[in-house]
Amino acid sequence: MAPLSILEEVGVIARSHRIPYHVLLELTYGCNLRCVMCYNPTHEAVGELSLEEYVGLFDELARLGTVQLTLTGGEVLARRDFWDIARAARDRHFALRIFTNGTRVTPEIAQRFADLAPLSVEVSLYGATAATHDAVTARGGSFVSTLEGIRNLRAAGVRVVTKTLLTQLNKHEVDDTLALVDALDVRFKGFDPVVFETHAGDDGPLALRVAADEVARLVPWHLHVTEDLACGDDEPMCGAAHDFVSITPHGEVYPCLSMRIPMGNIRDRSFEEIWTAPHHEVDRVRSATWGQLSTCGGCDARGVCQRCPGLAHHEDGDVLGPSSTHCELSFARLDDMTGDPHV
Amino acid sequence: MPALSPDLVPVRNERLSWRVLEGEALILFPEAGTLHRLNETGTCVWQHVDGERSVESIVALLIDEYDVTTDEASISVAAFVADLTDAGLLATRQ
Ligand SMILES: C[S@@+](CC[C@H](N)C(=O)[O-])C[C@H]1O[C@@H](n2cnc3c(N)ncnc32)[C@H](O)[C@@H]1O
Ligand code: SF4
Ligand code: SF4
Repeated sequence: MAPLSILEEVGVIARSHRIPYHVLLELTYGCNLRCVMCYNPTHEAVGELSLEEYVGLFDELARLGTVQLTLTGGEVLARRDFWDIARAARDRHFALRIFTNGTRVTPEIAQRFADLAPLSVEVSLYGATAATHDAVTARGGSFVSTLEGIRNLRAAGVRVVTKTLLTQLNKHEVDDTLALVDALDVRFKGFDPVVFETHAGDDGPLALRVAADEVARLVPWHLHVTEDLACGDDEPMCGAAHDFVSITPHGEVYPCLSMRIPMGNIRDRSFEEIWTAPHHEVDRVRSATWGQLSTCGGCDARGVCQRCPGLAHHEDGDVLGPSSTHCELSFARLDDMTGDPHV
Repeated sequence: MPALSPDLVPVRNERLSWRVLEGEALILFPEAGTLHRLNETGTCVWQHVDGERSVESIVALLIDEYDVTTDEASISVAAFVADLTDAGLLATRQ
């Protein structure tokens, strides 16, 4: 694998020059599945940025130094012009990571993914049986077609990464899911226990959350970690609006998928203007390091906490404060590791 | 190092992702799991590689842009092409 020093060096450059190194694009809200917990505000594909608008955005991002694009949705394959968008991105040398539910990935489609030379294609898997997976997606037959899609991607030589949102519906299949992923011979990113409400503000999905102590018991620590945990005192609190940003299908820019602080719309102003404009709340996010966080900075559970400032903002009202969801998860994890209930 | 034929045309591997950040190219090669960072001169050569220009014309462009002799430019372009070919980032054609 790459010598870390280059990555670190690039990370430092990106953050010190405020380069939007990694941009996540939700290309559509359209989707052929109806996952019961889906955070998208709708499944309708209306008023989306056009191919031309994406091409203009790509030119701007390339000029600003963006290296990586994550393409997600909705379901990216629900867009008829998905391949034109992806090709336009590759023509501008972006590194692509693509999220899909995998259900429509025939051998031909898998080859088209392979032709994009992506960093990875990530497919969500919600269990080890059709009964469980299809109960989550609310579409019969989706388990079978997702597995078929994963196999087709593997056969085409694509680096496939799978991941599982842990919910009440699939928590009994943790071990079996791991065995399945093993048999499929694909990388498994982890079980994510943080179900959040929809972007339209519907908290229905929260009822599907698994309790923190159960998460700690069911999911081994190394499979709970979905992203690198960097929490040294001098390390930025997170990448949101720092070297990372997210854009909805309608052009709204947010610091992150889970940090719903509107920064502006690329249909009203150029991305560069939005990215560089002073913004009271976003600037606080950008400048914060772990050491400066008053509660989290001195917290015992910091080493096992995947604290999300977006959730802290949304659930507890302060991007620089603790996130109660993560406090629960992290202290339960500590208890589980030490066998000593936290009091 | 054997001299590189001036007529050879270097071609970038199409399966790479790359960007110039602060004057230095960052190149990701996902399938090889490698990451490369070029220095300023390397970046300049990399940007001149367009699948049409020959080694000779890239050398000429380098001489225009930097205060170097023809020999120095030829040696550094030859070394660059050899290194990047070894790493799978470039191929050459006649
Ligand atoms: C919205 S989907 C879009 C990509 C693709 N359609 C898929 O399902 O993988 C992206 C990821 O968000 C996760 N997700 C959906 N609803 C969620 C929620 N309410 N909270 C947390 N993650 C959620 C999904 O499990 C999926 O891994
Ligand atoms: S497949 Fe993805 S976008 Fe579609 S409903 Fe499920 S989580 Fe939402
Ligand atoms: S979010 Fe809670 S558990 Fe995590 S570091 Fe902050 S105070 Fe500690």
